[in-house]
Amino acid sequence: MNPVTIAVPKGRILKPLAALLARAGIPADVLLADDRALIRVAGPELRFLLLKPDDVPTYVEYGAADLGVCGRDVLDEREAQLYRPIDLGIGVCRMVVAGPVGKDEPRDLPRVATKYPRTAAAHFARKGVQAEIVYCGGSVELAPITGLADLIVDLVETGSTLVKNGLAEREIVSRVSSVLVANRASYKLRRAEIAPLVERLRQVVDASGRTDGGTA
Amino acid sequence: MNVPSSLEHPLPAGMRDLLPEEARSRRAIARRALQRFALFGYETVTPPAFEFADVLERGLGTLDPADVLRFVEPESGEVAALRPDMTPQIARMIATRLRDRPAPFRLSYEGTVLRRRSGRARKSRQIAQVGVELAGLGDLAGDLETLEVACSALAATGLTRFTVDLGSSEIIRALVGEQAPPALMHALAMKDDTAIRAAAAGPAAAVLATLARLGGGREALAEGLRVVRGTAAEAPLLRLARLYEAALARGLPGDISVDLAEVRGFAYYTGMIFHLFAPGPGEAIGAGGRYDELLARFGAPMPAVGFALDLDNLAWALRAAGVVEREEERIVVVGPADDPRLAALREKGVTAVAAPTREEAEAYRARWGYSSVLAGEEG
Repeated sequence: MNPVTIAVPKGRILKPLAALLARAGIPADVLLADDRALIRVAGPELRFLLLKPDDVPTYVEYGAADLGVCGRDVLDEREAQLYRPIDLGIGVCRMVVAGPVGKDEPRDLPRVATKYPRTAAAHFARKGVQAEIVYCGGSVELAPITGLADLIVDLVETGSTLVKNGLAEREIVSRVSSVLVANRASYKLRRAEIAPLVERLRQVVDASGRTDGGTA
Repeated sequence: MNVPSSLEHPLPAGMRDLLPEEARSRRAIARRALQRFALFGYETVTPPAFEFADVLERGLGTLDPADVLRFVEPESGEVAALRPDMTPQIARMIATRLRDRPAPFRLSYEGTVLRRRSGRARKSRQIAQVGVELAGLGDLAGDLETLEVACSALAATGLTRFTVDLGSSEIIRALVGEQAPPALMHALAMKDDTAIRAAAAGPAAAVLATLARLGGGREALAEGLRVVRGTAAEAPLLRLARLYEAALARGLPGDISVDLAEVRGFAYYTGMIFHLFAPGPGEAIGAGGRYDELLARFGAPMPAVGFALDLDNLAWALRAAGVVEREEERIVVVGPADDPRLAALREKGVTAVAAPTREEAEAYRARWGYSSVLAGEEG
């Protein structure tokens, strides 16, 4: 039998994630090992794949990984068809609309730069605003400064990057955090192995939610 | 090395060819399933590739209307749709062409359906299916027959390890009603605990969140019953438990599990929902359920239940399980095209082609995967 495979995103989420998994009794210290291995074996029954955050839903949707950890921003943008049994309460940030300080946006057809075109388009459509969505792969803050766009839709954690670039939040599109995702087929076929992992993780997350006073 | 531009004939995204090896293996899988359907009394019908959209869309089932490929049919100026699902076509046939015959109707089909799947990780749009519809037989008897046909057909293709995941559209419907907010239905479909609690109101939120995490066997059913006791969801949950026990008692091949909060195709199904899973493709290899209101939309009200197998995903599962297609005997005969041995082999049902020399015969055998070469008459 293959080990249960969990796809995790490289980057700053890795440390709090490893701590959370460890508290749930899931051996995750391999995640913090200082090497370049993309597959981290945590035992005969468990391994991790270290991926770019955007790739996590793809691996899980195809079943190359049984479980994964992924931000809601990516899941919503991709309309990923995955179970999301637990909100892990880490990687908390928000998807916002931001624009230059002290400058009104045009009433009609604002140009919006974003790495999340589907999310941005859906947000403006819900408000009944026709917007021109411009895809940018990164450094989206540059777009309003240079006149590429009137507004941006982007992920914000503290907001300091926005301030540094003379931008201010206009509205919140959604609250974002990292969730545990599961492949539908794996969730059914490997219930005996996966369900105990999920349950332990749920207990840890519920307990920390209570002690932190909850962040919902 | 550059590919000459004359070889660039791109296909639309999500469309593909099957080359001989794959087409042969696909035929074999489909044939086994259809033979098994026939042994249960299911007669094959062949619906057309496209129909008027308003007819098809009366019974769209589990599909988003945005997934349908439509076009204006030049003859009539009407909007037509490439069939995204064959079930509404079978329903139309039963309600029109077959309406003089007495129920029940046991029909099977094989064909390709077409869907839009823009932006998804999995973009396949051309989905090869075989399936059955059982109309006119309600309740447990019809549900069980359908499950038995599905499991029996999977076993006939050589698959031994698979899971039938049973659910009921009525459990969640009893709790949220027909007009549940889309955000709640999405949250339930994703088993998104946090989003369920956010989208549902009052005490129902905790019940729904608990149901969404329950799955497995008797223990899950028992805990589900405790949670919904005294609510309108109790009766449908008991029906699901009864179906689960009856399916176990029938000794179907494959494992059986339950999902207490299944909502896929919620607006369409009116009872049992099931999905078939096997290691490999990462999504269901088949799905079905009961849709007792579908035929009424075509003017012939009667209960109906059915399922379809996804042949691409089933082939993937068979490969993953190491099920080897038994190669049929196919022979290259060294000799002229009128060599009498060719005709003799073909009479026996053996594939036979001629090649003029031993070398050419060997090359042909290797290139096209033939089982053997039959040497020339004189040596």
